[in-house]
Amino acid sequence: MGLVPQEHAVTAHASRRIILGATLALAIAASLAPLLLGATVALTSPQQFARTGVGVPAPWTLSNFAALFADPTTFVRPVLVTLGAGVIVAAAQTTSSVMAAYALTRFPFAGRRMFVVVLAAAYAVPPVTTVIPLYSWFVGIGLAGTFWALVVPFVLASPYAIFLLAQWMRSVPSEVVDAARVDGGSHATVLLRVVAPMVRPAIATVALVTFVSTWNSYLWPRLIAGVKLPQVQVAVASLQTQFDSNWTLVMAAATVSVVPPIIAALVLHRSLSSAIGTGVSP
Amino acid sequence: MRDSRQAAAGTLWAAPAIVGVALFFALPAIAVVGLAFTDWNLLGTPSWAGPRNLIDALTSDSTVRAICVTVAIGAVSVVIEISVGLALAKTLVAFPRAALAGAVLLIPWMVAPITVGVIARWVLAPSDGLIAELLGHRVDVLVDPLGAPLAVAAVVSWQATGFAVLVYAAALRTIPSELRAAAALDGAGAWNLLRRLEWPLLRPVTFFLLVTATIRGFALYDVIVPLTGGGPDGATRTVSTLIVEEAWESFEIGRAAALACVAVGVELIFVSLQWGWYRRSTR
Repeated sequence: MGLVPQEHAVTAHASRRIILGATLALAIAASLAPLLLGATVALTSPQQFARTGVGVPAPWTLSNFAALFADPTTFVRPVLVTLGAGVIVAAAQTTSSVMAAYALTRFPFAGRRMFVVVLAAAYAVPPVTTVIPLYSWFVGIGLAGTFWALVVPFVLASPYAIFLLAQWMRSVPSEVVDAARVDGGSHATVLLRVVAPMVRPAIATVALVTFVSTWNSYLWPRLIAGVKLPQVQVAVASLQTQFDSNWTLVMAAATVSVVPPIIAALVLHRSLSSAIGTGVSP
Repeated sequence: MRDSRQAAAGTLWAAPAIVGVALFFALPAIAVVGLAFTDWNLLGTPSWAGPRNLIDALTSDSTVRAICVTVAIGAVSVVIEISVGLALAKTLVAFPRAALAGAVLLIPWMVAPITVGVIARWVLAPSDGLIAELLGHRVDVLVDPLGAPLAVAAVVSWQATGFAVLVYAAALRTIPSELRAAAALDGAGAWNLLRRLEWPLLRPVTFFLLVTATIRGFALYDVIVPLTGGGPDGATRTVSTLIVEEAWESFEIGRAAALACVAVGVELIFVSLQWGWYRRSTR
């Protein structure tokens, strides 16, 4: 402390806390403001919005959501299609990724290195690149415009999911697995009864992130199913072009679209941050 | 004997993922390289074109411009993401009990880029947007050749910063407090602590963020669609946007495929430069 009197140090500390707290509050406000303002517009009647623009809705109204849901093909069907695709992709991709991560962490199998390199490449290459031939193949076999075209390319593998799960599985001590194997457990039993329960947060995280990325996806669903069988983001984008300047309706769609990601962020923050913590710790 | 059984079991367990990555990534990736040497409009059969498309893609103004736009937007947004992300991460770890704050900061990262683009379009729309309304006059950011890419970069960094906060905060929490205490004893202030202790220790995280930002930059498309559509006059036409236009608006599959190959090559150059920086700085 030296010559600085005790009270000064305390005040300096307190003012530092206030500045830090204000910074954090500002960051939170900046993160939420566009979404909250959008939701406010969605809850304002088109008449009031045309008159006064954004402001406190008087009265609060659900009429934009009613308009959005009135014709089921506009938005209700895209939501249902995307929920269905999201659940199927999340379940299948998580299952196959858990198996692949188990293989990567427990067996020195042939081509293991090659597999890891190809996975990394699949993560790095812009999706639009591989979409060019995939699109022509799916059109060629007559799957364009069908529900299965939306899910098939994603059910078997996700580099991100495999890496995250493998990262977590490495933290399961090999003695535990070996002991279960010595006790006569098959690999399937060991994975289901020993490893999977120990990495349950990772599995839940991967499943939820996969669901949200299906919910958020645009390029592939736009190209392969287009407006015939639109997913949510395709519907949101085409509402904006169709009803340009009809912001109350467009914001109602945007507000529905942000609900699953918000829930996911709140639920997953802790597990993602501990996964990254184990990944970056020396 | 046991080894080969182990190897077989491993391949078997990874089989679904191997099939998936082969069918839906490796094969199409090889096919794209092949298509780059053809002329094709999606109908009929591709005809051999030799290296013409690749040469075109490497030399045409539109490619060079798209790469410059992509790199510029990426550079601006990654600088914001890393500096603001680190500053906010330092702030966040000062409040160990504010877990919810970290979760809220992660929300923009989770929201669909299309939806983010739609909301940003409403905020910045020239005549009936939020900012135009608050100012009481037109806002020309999105029709300005410099303003539009900057707006895209701002939106991209708004989305990405929460993720940088997450990884930086997780890494900051793993730095042993004895190291900080020792540095403080040596008289290091907050700035020196950051520069001499934390920044070097956080280098793997920074490298990871640079690489993910590069990958994201070369894939940047969704936000552009509702926000600017690539305009004005190509000022926000990123590499991915140009590929989509070549393939599904002009139906020039050969050109699109050649451009895709060039884009991956340029992306690889950037990632190797980052890898070089990382290796040199940790030696």
